[in-house]
Amino acid sequence: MNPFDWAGPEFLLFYFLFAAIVLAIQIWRMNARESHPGEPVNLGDAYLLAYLKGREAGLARASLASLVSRQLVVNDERARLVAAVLPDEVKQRTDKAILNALRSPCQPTEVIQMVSKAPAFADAASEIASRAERSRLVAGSGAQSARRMDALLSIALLAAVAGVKIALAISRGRANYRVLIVFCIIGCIGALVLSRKRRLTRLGEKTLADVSQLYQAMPSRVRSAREAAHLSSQEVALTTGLFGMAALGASTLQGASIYRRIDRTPHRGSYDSSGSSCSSSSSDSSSSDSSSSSDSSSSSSCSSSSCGGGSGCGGCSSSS
Amino acid sequence: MTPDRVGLGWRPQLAAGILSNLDQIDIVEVIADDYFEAPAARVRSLRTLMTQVPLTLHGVGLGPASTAGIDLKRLSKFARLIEQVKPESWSEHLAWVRGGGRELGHLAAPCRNGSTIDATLANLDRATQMVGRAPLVENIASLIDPPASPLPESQWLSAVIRGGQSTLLLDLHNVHTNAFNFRFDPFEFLDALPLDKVGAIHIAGGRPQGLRILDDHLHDVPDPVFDLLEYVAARAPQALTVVLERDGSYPAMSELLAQLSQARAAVARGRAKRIALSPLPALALNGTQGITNPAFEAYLAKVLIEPDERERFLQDPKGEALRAGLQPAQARALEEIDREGLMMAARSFANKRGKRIRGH
Repeated sequence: MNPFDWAGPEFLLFYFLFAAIVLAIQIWRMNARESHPGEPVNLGDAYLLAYLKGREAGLARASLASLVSRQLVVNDERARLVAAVLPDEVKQRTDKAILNALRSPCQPTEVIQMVSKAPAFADAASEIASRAERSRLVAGSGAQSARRMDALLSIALLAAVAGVKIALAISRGRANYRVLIVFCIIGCIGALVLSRKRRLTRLGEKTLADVSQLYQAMPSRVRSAREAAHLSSQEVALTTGLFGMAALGASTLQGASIYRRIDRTPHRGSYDSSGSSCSSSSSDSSSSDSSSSSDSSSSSSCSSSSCGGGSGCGGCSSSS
Repeated sequence: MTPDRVGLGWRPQLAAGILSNLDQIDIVEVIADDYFEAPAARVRSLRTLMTQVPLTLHGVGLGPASTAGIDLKRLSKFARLIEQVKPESWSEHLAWVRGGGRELGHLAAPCRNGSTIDATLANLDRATQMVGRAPLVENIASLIDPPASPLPESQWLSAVIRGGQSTLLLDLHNVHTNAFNFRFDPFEFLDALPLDKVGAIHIAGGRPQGLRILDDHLHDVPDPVFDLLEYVAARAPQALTVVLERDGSYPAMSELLAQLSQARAAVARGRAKRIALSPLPALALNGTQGITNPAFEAYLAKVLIEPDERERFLQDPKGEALRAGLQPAQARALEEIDREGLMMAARSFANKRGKRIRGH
């Protein structure tokens, strides 16, 4: 009954089952450890939920949607987005960062990417990320190192069993252990993947699934809202954070067209001269940032990524 | 004493508004029937909701005020949900909702007599045994003055509350509505209730429909309801939980929160008055032993649901009732039925059934 005495195919079957059990225990340990709640979570915190669902970009969408619903971010005459108030007039740090970034106009299709990379926004987002970690919704450094330890333990077990069998095989003058080595490598990779795969903890995944259930009627509430005044900015932010900007774009709310344009995915080099961000920025360069004119000189530099970090493209001139 | 609480009926459309204003909402009331067939993940979300705010489950489909007995299948679903969610309390309406295998589609006012009191108490006992704790039971609004009802509504309600383990979920808009529809004084009505056995209070808004009020929960709470709330708060010695019900035409959340503030203020005004409750007189139920039985309810359900049957019935109520196999006393009771109320209730039930079908 000693499995190390079993012949090749039988031992491979045993090893396969052993590896499956080791990985299952690794998952079970991770889930059990990450199901314990940390600091209490406020399920009405739209920005926290938006961050859980969509990281920094999700947070930027929710914050921007909230600002648009409050008419603190508006269209200019060229249908670009621009801050209507000074950043100091809002409380939330993410809102402040967006208003700061939008002191110069920006094309709606580029604003999320631009904002997500703005340092002030990244700072504000990291504060929310810390809150999510303290509530054990996101796997922080502690959870990550515990995952790594579990993965190392799994790898050690898988390698040890395979190693003993290989040593025995060698001592008996056999060389048919290549498949076992492949099995061992696959198992070890599986253990590493399991330790790295999930950004959220088990509790975070469960919380996100539960709030999606609780808020499932919000898109229909937004669509059926007769006027913008019937929706609070909090409702707008929550809906955007959990269901995306498209949920607002489908409404008849004031600002729906802005939401639709923000939601539109930018395509590299697809802007034509009549409506392109480049042409508008070049004509706008005299009144905004001089760097925008240099960006607009080349169509390739006018991709969505060129807006990152607050540098100008399509009117997203630096404002920090 | 535990402080009074003010809360809101949980509607998924209001989820964001509720969860982002929990500093002004002490409790939420969830419609239990919406979760009877729900997948496990949806039921689990209620437990997550309970980590944020106290929760109570409210039923709309058991229909315990019926001589035909309670729907055990539905009751067992309710019991299972309560077991899973573990709410702080559960409640149902003192109504009948089906007869002879026909679903009315909404809550119908029970005939107020000794038969329905006994049947209701037996049904509530059964429910209490199955769930493990007694429900709060709610008075309902009606467009029709139910036939075969020698007892006034306040006495019928008192008999059910004083005769069983349940406490009263006092719906003040229903009191206001019935007082308007059937011309009685709502304050005298409240005086006849055991206000010390009020476990919770509902407030809501409705709209006039002809010469009656329809309790549709689609409008703001009218001032007379806040007056009734103040009246109850002045007399009820126990802590009160007041829940605002809104079922559609949702206004801005700020408007609902303003109504909650009004409710809080009304309770505070009442508390400031502190009026001792007078003991209620013994109930005089002799001679009210009724004629309501499952066959009577089944025929009434048929009349309420089927337009052709209703038309025939209205032409010759007594004759049709006798031809349907009812006893002469039952036929006589139906001869005096509130015809205008019957038509309005039938239309309202048909609307509700239509919405339910469209909803599915």
